[in-house]
Amino acid sequence: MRKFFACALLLFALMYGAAELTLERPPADGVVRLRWATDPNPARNVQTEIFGKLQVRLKDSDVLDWDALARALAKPQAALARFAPLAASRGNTTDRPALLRAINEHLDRPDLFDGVDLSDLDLSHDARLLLKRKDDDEDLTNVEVAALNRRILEAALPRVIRKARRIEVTVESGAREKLLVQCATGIGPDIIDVYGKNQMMTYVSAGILVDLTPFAAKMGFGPEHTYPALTGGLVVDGRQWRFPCNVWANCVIYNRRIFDDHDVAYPKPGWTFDDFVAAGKRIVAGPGRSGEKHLAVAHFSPVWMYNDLLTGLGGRYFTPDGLASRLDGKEGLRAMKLYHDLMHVHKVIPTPAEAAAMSSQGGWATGAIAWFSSQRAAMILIGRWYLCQVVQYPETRKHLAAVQLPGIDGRASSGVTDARGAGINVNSPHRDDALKFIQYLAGRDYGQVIVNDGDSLPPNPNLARNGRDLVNDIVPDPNFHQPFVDAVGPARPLDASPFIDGEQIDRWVLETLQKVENRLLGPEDAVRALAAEINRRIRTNLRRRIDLQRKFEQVTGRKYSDDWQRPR
Amino acid sequence: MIAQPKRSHAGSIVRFVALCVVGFVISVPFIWMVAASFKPRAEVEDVQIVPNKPFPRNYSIVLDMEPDPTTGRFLELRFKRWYFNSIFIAVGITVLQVLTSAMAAYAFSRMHWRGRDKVFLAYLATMMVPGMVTMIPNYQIMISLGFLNTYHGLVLPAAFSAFGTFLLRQFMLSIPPSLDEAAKIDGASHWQVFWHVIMPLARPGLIALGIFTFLGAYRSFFWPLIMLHSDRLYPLQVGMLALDTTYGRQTELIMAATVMNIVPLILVFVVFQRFLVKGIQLGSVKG
Repeated sequence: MRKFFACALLLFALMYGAAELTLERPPADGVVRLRWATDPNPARNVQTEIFGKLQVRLKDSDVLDWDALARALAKPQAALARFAPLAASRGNTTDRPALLRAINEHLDRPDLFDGVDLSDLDLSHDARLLLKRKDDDEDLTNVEVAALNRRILEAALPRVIRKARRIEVTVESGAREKLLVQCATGIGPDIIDVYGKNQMMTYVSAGILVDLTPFAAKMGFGPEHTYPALTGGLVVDGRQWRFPCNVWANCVIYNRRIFDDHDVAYPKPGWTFDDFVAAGKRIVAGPGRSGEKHLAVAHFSPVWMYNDLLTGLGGRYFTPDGLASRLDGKEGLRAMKLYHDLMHVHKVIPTPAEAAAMSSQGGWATGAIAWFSSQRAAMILIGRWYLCQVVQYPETRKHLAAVQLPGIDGRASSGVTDARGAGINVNSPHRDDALKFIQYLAGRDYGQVIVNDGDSLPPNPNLARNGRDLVNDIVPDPNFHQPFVDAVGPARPLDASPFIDGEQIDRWVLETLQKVENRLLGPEDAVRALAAEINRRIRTNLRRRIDLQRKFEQVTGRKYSDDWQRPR
Repeated sequence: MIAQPKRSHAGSIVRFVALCVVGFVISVPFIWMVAASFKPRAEVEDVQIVPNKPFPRNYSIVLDMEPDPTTGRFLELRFKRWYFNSIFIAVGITVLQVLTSAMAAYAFSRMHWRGRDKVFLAYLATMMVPGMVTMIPNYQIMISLGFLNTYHGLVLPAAFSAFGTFLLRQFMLSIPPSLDEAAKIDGASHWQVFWHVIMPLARPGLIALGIFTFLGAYRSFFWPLIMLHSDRLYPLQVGMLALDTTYGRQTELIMAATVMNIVPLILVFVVFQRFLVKGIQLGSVKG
């Protein structure tokens, strides 16, 4: 028995040794590593690489002595000889941007200093580590290549080029539970993804986020640097807490092949809710000419659909002071009735039982996106971020078109807009560098990645002025992208109340919709019960929390008492 | 002579068929998982279980041996590393937990000291506290020890277990005390009694605990998720999240990864299954 345990412990020790020995560790080389809690998908690598590369690019302010730089390029030392192609601009420092651009293009070349004797240069520690890895035939990333070349340039011209501070961003899971545990213990990632206004308000009330207001104006990431419609989703009580990573407003994406198959006319801008229902009913009426049956709408988020219906009707969640729910008003009731009828009267969205019978998948947005992508459904109400997902379905991409949400009850089309935004952890030890990252989100380099990936709209509206700006390899037709640009103008973020946790409301709304879907409650009764529940919770919160009582006094201008609802 | 009750042939057939149906129902998710791992992406949503055209390349795509055919890009997962991490962490936790639990169980079952049973009850009471309640204090301790984002931060907190101690104590109580008394008469110390008398006799219990611990540690998700932020240290369960993101869920690849993931669990279970049943039965005889 002792031998067995000795062997087992030895095996464990050997595995431990092997694990530690073969573990790639980022070298302790003075590089600042920002941690970004987000959805860790492959696109994040591209987004963070560009940020890293921007930090090592030569900027105007990095050149300490332009004349010395001109002289050095005119009489190149061994290391600088590789800049020979800059001959045209060498010595000419009048067109500084052109010279910097040319040098930066060189910094991106992996072979820039191949074969050059660098032994007499006083290279920094991180440059030596990168060089060793390069000599060991390891593949360096684009950022590492640029960083190495920049370090060599700094060493070759020590009094001419300022040393760049290297910042790398590492991506990790932004799972809510992880974030809560980490923030509750005073650590956590530097940058935190914040999905939607409700989550932002929860994080703000928990004291997790840094107030960005003092930095936003001077660093260029205030609300005025993104879509005006989104301002209410970034700001609470006049303070800004996040900046968008991408911005969404839902449209109807439809599959032209399925519409043709059922002889249904394509939706046109300005279409109405009745047109939407009529198109859906014709699609579900029977098989198309091909003999295939199709779903009318791939319905992946009941809450989003309800919120778009409510907003389309001009409805709101709360009264302006946030002290009562307005869901039991006529718009809230009507929105729930429309939702109910879509499912149970017109049958253009599948019931939960039908959905469960059709889907073999779980996970993000259940199987509805996969139904639409595999050409089983004619329409889906979704943001432009759907393009990230349809990359995997090249055949479907050819048939896609989009149109704004239908106008309801004679109103113009409008829906909800919101963003996946980034905020900074109040306990981040790298606040200044994290702010640089937020600044990067507002810039063109990052925005262009979002355009190319199809991950909704870029935060910088100058990159999304019209459909042509948004053309990418996934869907090259500008007409596809135009409705998303048009949709964000009249859209607005959902309103929220400081007296109740928005994420709690999201859960209750989902539960209410599920009751309606499963016919446990009629639409009107369900909305009234929901509004009553919200009002009850607001009263309870006010009774229990002094900070909310103060807020109450601010909002109403009168002293709080437990019977505040009684008419005076 | 006791008369054997007469068994009806038809009754046996009905029971057999019913058990077959139940067995099939239980195994459908497993069959679906294996079948989906051989489907091309276009077929994953199909209701039919068997793929029209088996697509075994899902496995090599997950292992980064070839690019994803639709995007033309390698997934760049660290699947092999995550696989190794999962096995290594589970082996470490299992060995340490079985050893520490056996020592504690010996102290609680064979040694006599004042307040022993009260301490045991207090120790046992920790099992009543839900894991979520102790999550943040445990995490704070890990921060203080500098164990965040390390292997030992995953292994050491799981190296001690009230359940393991309880299971082995019950098992050791079923071993006749006369055996260690005889050893003591022959001059054996506690240490010698523990290693030479009790541990060999407790083997089924040790193996049962080992299996439970290995299965639990191998499937562990939440603690590694919050402890680690470097993907090089991830176990498979956390690393596989990369296949389900807002940029697309690749069900066929998730299933291929899952099939590879559960191989060690199946091996452990198949090899040690007989000890598992025996260990639990013997441990439950005496309390």
